[in-house]
Amino acid sequence: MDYHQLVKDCLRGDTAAQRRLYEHFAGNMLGVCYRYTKSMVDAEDVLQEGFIMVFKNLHQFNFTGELGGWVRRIMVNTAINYLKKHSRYQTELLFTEGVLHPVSDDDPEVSLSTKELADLIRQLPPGYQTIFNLHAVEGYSHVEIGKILGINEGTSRSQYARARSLLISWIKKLSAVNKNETYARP
Amino acid sequence: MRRMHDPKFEKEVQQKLQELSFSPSEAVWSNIDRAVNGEKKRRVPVFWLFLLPALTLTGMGVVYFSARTSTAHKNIVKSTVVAPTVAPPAASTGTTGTTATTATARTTPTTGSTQPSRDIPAEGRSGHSPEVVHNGHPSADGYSPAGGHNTSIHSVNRLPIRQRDMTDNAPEEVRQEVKVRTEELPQHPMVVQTAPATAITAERANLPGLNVFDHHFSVTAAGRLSSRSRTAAVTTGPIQLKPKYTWEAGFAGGIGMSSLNRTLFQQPSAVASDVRQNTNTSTAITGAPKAYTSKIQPDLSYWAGIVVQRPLDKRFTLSLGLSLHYYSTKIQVGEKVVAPSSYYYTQSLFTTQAPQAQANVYPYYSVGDNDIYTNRYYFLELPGSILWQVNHSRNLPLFWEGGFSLAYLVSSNALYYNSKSTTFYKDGSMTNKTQLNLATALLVGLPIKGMRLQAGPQVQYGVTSLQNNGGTNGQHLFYGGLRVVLLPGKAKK
Repeated sequence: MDYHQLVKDCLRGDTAAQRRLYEHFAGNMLGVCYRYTKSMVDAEDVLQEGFIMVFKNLHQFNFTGELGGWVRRIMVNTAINYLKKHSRYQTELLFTEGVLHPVSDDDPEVSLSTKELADLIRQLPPGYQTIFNLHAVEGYSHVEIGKILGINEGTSRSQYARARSLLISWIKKLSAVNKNETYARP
Repeated sequence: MRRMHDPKFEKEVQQKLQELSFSPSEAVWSNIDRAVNGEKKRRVPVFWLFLLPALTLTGMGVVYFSARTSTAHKNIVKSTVVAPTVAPPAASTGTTGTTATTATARTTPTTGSTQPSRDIPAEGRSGHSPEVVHNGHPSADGYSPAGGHNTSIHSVNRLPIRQRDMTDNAPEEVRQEVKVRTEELPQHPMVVQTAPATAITAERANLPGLNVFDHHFSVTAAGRLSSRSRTAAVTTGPIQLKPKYTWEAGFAGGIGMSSLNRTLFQQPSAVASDVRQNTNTSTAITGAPKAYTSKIQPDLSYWAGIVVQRPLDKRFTLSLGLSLHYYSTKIQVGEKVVAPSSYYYTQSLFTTQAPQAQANVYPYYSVGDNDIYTNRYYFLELPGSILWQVNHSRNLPLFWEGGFSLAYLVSSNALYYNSKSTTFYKDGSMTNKTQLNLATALLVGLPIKGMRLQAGPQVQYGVTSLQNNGGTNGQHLFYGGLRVVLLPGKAKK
């Protein structure tokens, strides 16, 4: 796809081009939004707000990076803003700075499907979920996460470690259940 | 973005979740489309809302001026002398007319009144003597040669020509009466007649004194009264020469400088556009010392539109208009930030602080002096004012104009400064789109060939704050420059 032309058409106000750009990225971006929220309705809300921001700020995209990456960053930022806006997420996000929790070296094999893994991440408390997504999936450093969320770098590390170990324990349990179910099948 | 560590688990999770994809519902796109393109579509009716009155006013102006020109022309061509018609004595009206149309066409002794004829048709009126009528009124002395019933001049018009030609044979008393009344005619200038018909009638009636009729007065009076109602033309008594004030349409424009003021005379401060002025601005979030922020400099401003004026009396004139006004200011900015910045997120996600608008997430320019940025504002304005003519000069009138204007922000690219994130960014929601301005001007009226020009200095101050953040830092648009109004047509005396 010629992103250059697509962006130009979108900036000209071509609705068809906007629709093409949306359809090109909407599926994956909804996946991103899904990971940060607790329901598909919320995920679609974030997607909607995110794409509105994309189209309103498209003139700022100068093709130095990938359009997909730029759209993704906007989605992530929009998702975090969404969490801050809605009290149901905000109250659950409050947690104290814990003792630095070492990251376990346990690297289990993730035999779950993509959907199952995403659902498990969404089962994490919102604070854990956000930090895990930002660090493990988006690749932000704990310093950057600290800046983004307004917390200490240490808190980010600690919360990530807890999120990670919780997730790994769930993955192990779910993998075992899946295995048993597989063996139990005729 | 650099990874702190890269264990297998994170890699695997990342890889798996990259594939995560869903199909969003159709409602999502419709909402996005409405939000993104809906705004553009909504602007169209607003534009038309202003354009339609503008076109209507312009059209009315054109029609008014062309109608006035053509009326004056017609009056010059058609308005001539009075032709008093003398009806034959009743005794000689033994024949009734059957060629009324022909008679009307050939003789045109009509009054200036266009009042519909209330008279009985000539047919079947034998025995009724028509009376000499001037100005649509019966003769004062009730003269009726036959001593019979009075008939208006319209009835006379309907009589056959042969019947009226009999005036030639009218008795001497009748002729004398006609002569006397003809000499009085200049006092009744509303009585008009077309020239050729007058010639015929005068010649046939042998009416003396017609040549001395004041043509000029007739034209002037007819012109003045042309726009009056029908009843006005038949009123008795002296002619009302009070000037009739009408609307005049013209063009207006101006050029000057605009600035953003804190108050009427106070120039903007370094962070006049600071949207977070009420918070602690001593340091940026990062703890770094506060960066240099530019002063808001005045810049070019101009406007153009249409204006309609109507004199209220000899000294005061009401002026209304519709115009598009461009304001601009300049600020120094740093580097353009293309990607969404993460600065914003340094605020605590987990505190109870109210979340900021999403637009804050995408700072636009950093502070600095790398570049000069022009903040542009386009307003549609509906000005209303009163012009007071200071002097009595007709050739060089001096007006003092005072009024207000209601303005609507159509478009803007203005940047707002956020001292917390030390960035300049765009946010359309930060502005009060509807503005009330006060304006005053001192204008000199200059007659130009077939037109009138009013020109002079003008100042305009926005009473409404441009920024709607509710803070104490008002931002008021100020314009100072030259105002020019051009009105087609010469000044009415």
